[in-house]
Amino acid sequence: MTTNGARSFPDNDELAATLRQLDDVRRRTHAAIHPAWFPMLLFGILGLVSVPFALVGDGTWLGLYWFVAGPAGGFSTSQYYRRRTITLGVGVRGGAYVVLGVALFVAAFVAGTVTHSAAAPMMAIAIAHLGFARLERSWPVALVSLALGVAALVVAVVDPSYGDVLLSLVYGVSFTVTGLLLRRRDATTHATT
Amino acid sequence: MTENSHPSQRLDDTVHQRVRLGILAVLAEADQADFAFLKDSLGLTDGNLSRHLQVLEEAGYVKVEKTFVGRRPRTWIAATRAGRAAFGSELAALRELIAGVDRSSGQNGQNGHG
Repeated sequence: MTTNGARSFPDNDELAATLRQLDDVRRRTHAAIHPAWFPMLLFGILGLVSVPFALVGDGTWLGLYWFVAGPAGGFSTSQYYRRRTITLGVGVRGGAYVVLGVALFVAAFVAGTVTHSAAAPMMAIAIAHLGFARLERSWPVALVSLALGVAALVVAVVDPSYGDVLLSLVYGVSFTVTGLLLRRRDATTHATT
Repeated sequence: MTENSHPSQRLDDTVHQRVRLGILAVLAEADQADFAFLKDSLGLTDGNLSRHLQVLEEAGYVKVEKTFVGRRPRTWIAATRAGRAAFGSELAALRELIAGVDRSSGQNGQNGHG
């Protein structure tokens, strides 16, 4: 590698070291611009708050709750990402996230209206979060999304009493815990870089 | 330049430079980064970063936009489509070079022991 722009034939160790440095720069940049902990923690808490709404009635209150909480959570997340971009001086444009969020909202709303249970909307949430995990390149988000999908499938098949409450709890607890763990890792990364 | 040419022939003189590769590596992950972030991430001085950004901008690999946040000026840098493509090609050529050297080392080792 040269420093003045002229090309010289580099040796293998130098090339390998350059690629490692580039990977490191990309990894640190990626970590800075993808604070997945925030939406995970926020929606996890919203999930926990939804539990009392799942306990009452036929799911109408739960649906109404998410009709308000879902877009509010999405808006808060977009504002957090925007503020973080300005503060850190690096970020991504949120087009793909907005598309994913709108698709999730519509899919979950339609699924809930048609089935009157939390299992189908929760399946939509799990699939959308797999897409989110892909954007964030985050295996913890992918794992917890898969687990949520499996839980939704089990509830849909077994149809236990209080299935909606159970799913809201699984969603709330798993996303809150994942958000807290990711937040800890995010804080450690930024303390050391 | 053909796909079958030696990988070293596909290295782009504009991109094949440590600082400029670092700039494009950041911009490959982020849609935009500001001057201060690039400077801190890559451990550069203002002058050094400006010089390399100018080279990349003249080649059409980055675009530079000056904005204000409140009354503070901010300089945002983004990779162009050509810049992302050039960075991708450079990485591919570097990996091919390493793989080629590894292969030839392995063959030499086998010949030496055979």
